[in-house]
Amino acid sequence: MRAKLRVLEFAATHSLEEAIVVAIDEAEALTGSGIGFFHFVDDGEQSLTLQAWSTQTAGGMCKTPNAGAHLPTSDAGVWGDALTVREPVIHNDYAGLPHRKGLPEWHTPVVRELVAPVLRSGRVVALMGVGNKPTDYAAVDVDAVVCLANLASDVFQTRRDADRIRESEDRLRGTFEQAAVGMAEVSLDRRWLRVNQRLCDILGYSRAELKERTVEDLCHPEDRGADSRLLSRLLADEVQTYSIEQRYVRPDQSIVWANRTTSLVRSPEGKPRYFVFVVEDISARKQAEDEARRLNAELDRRNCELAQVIHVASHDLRSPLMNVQGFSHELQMSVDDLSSALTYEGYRLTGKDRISQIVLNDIPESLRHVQSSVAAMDRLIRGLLTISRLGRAAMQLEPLDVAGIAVEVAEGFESQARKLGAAIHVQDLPPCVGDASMIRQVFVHLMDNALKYLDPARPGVIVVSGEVVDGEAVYTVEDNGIGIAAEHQDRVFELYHRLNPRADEGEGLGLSITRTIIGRHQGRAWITSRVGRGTRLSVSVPIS
Amino acid sequence: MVDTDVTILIAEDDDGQADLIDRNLRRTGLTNRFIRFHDGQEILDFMLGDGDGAHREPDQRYLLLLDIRMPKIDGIEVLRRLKAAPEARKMPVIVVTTSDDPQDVAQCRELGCSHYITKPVEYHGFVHAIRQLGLLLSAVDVPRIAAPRGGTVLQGRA
Repeated sequence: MRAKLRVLEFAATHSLEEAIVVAIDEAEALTGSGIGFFHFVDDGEQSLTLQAWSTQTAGGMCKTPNAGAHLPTSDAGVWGDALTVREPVIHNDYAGLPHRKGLPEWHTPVVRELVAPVLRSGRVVALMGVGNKPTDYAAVDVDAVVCLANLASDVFQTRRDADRIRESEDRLRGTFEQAAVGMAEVSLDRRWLRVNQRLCDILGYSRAELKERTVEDLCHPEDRGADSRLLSRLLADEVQTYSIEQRYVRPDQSIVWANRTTSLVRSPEGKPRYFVFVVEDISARKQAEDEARRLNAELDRRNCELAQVIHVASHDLRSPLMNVQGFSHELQMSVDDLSSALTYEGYRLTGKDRISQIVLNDIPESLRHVQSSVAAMDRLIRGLLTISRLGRAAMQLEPLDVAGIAVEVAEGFESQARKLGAAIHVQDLPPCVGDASMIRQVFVHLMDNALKYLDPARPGVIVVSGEVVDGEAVYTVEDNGIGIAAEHQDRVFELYHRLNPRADEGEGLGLSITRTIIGRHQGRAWITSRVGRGTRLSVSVPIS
Repeated sequence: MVDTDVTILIAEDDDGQADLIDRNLRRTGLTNRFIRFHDGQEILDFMLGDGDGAHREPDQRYLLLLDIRMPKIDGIEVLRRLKAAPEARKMPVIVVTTSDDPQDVAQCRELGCSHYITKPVEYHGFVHAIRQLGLLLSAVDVPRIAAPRGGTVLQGRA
């Protein structure tokens, strides 16, 4: 009994192997033996592992095999008889045994031995043996060896079970920590109980910071409702698991998109215990989706523009073309009239006046119409080419001194404005990032447009102003001109909507060009106007 | 044939088109006086007695050929304002335009145009349409209208 306590005490602070050796030593001492061993039997009694010897035995041998070596049970000598009989076996006359196999050369000579099996669930799980007691082994020796063998075996089993649990826990922790996705255990009142490093990385909070916060604290306000409803369904056992794409707000207020799969862990009685979150960062995908959406919108806009080009080609170009056709017919008629007037008969009838009329009026007028129509078509085609080039030209984005650009453009319009009795005032304008020549063109077209639609009834006042709104520079050119009726306002930027097709200079596509340029800068162009009061044309351009 | 004392007003921003309308109408035998207007503002000023330019004469009979797409004030707005003016509203207005947009047609009819003619953007079709217009003019009843009353009408709208 005291020996047993000594072994247990020793086992608590030493390795398994050392504890086993102490157990053998105790058995050896109690039985007064000279040698001792302990073997574990594994694989359903098929092999022996962890062969351990008493301190005395190990010291007396010139060499011992590896302690962890596996030995098939069939190779065991007579000491293995206990395996087959499943009871302690005593050989007090070892030399006289008929089925003795002989000992390995390293083995200490054996005179007599006592081997006891350890039985668990009817199987032999270990053998402990002692040998070379000066006198014959008796029942009292058997009791001591059986007791210590069972003890050693229990120590071994307990230790091995603990190791397995620890190993399993380690692996689970490793999986949890090393997972490429964020993982968390979340309490029923939605506090973060346990989180892995990846989740901390995704959410931007440390473990300690997370534990002070609830899931709602981090969830984007707009996504809270849906999540709350789904968690309730999980608790009500209506769903086993769900995935939701939602936004979390990081400490720097940036948004991270996550796909979160949530499940509920219940106790064996079915009582909800905690939630398990698996969180995947899908910001990159969301960004790609946004980019795809933006490109689609851009594509739609381009398609729309293309449709407008076709519209221009089919309507606006055809109208001057019809004039060319019409007046070439008129010219033909003039030539017919002329030739009939020039025949002698006709000359007498019509006389010089008719010929003068044809040559001095009809023909020049027809030619004038043909020429002006051709010029109009040319202007229109050049305008379309400008827009087409703008859509393709490489942009050089740089920080721009927009106020400087606007002042220069206004100076260019000065003489024209003076002739119209108008004044252009350029206020201080915020800078932006854009293509210098394109942004300059925008101001040219906006100011040109304002000058074109001034009201002759009052002195024209054109004000160029700017402000920063939501990270964008917004520039506005405001006039006190004739204004544009509400129903036409949204059409002024359309390619084919030329309010003044007889514009002396330019092709009347200035606002279409403006919109194209601003569109390429990811900005917007819009108009507010009141008939008889004036027009405000605004464009927005990103600041960075 | 329309009475020769009717003055035909043409509101058309394109010089060539206006001239072609003029010439082809004359070829149908019309000898009436034509007055040309380049945009919506000009025709309104003339009819309603605004601005510095010429104004209509009292008791004269007028007929208007009105294009829709015009600078400054478009044809539909012109029609709306004319039909809102007590005297000018009696003048027959024939919309002659390239637009065959059903919305435009419906709006003009609603506002009270006498006829709506789509100008084909193809020469022979165009000439044919204008000849048809010449024939149509003879069937239009053109009343005399009283003197304009200055800008009261426009002010009333504002």
